[in-house]
Amino acid sequence: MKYSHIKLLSPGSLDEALAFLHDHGAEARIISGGTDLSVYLKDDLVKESVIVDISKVKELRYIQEADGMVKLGARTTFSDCLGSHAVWRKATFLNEAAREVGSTQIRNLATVAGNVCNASPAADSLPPLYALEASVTLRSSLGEREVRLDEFILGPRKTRRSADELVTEVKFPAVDGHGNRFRKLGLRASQAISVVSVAALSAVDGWRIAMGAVGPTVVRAADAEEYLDRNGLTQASLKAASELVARAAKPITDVRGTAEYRKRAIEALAYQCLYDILYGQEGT
Amino acid sequence: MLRLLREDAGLTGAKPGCEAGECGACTVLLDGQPVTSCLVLAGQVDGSEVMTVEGLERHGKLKHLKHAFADEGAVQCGYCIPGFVVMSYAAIRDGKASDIDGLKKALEGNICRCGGYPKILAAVTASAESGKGGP
Repeated sequence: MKYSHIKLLSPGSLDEALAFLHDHGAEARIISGGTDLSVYLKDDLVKESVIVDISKVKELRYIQEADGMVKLGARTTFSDCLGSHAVWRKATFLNEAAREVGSTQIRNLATVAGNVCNASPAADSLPPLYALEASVTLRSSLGEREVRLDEFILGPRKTRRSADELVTEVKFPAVDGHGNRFRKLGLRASQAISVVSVAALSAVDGWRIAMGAVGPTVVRAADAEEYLDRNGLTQASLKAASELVARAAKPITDVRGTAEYRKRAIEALAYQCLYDILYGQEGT
Repeated sequence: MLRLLREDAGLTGAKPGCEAGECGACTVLLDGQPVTSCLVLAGQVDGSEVMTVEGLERHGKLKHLKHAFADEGAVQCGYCIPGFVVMSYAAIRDGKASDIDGLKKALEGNICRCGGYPKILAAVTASAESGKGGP
């Protein structure tokens, strides 16, 4: 067997998972839905000798709304998100992003926390989560800490998770169902990795705009946010704000598109997001 | 899991296609929900129910669907068809095949290299109508 050198550990509870990570974390990878790790396994990219499978840790599969926060347990799948009234009402654009992830078969397996930990700059859930200023909860057998998402993700496939830690929760402040939008450009309508993506949110304390696949991590468009905070979103400010969003993007050229194309696509997607928010077309 | 099904259990209905979760040829129901079996480790399904296209047939769940695929001539080379049938079964069961846009979205994870989509969509639509309440 191709993977016979890898040992699979299957904890049935969070405590057991943390104990396994305490003992084997340094030589272990974590698998949950497996939609990324199984592909790395197939491509022989997994050098570790242990895989800790958290798919049977049922206590981590929940969506809670409490104290103005929406909390997604680490085992929450994208299908769970799509079926959640709380996510739809409190973060419509995260729901829009969830709809863009893979296919039904993938959404039934893939988890939001897995998407976060895989830390791909093109991950569909990340632009809305950055705009929501989400944070992750990390647990180990020694304790718990909370890290802001934009500090947690360091670069492609790199996070601040220590070897003995497990991301147990992704959480974000509940926002109103209106005033947010996610748009993605793929090379085809379904089952496509983002060429670029944009999430825009008009929060109580100001605008927040985040872009995917334009740098090593998801990037916020600070100048555009400030411009919209100062001038408000109107038909007149739409174009200038979209240009500012594109200016904050530092894309590269790769198989999915050139840097120049990505810049222009970002401006168009930002325009669409802001247009839809201005004219109340969110969640359609 | 795909290898376990095909090589150990002898259930060759689920097909290896891209083996990266993109083509849907290996679709099975895991605890009732469609998943790409190529992405699931065999050890992860311990204690779960896995239903392949063979299981659906044996349990009499494909009465309408299999005739609809035959009647519409929806099969060309046939390699993608078991995956399409499992996914179509789930789509009809979950009420996602009642309009063509919903059905296209439900089948977005299944790829037919022959490009035989119009007849596949026609077959599933016909099955959804003749089944009324069950695939």
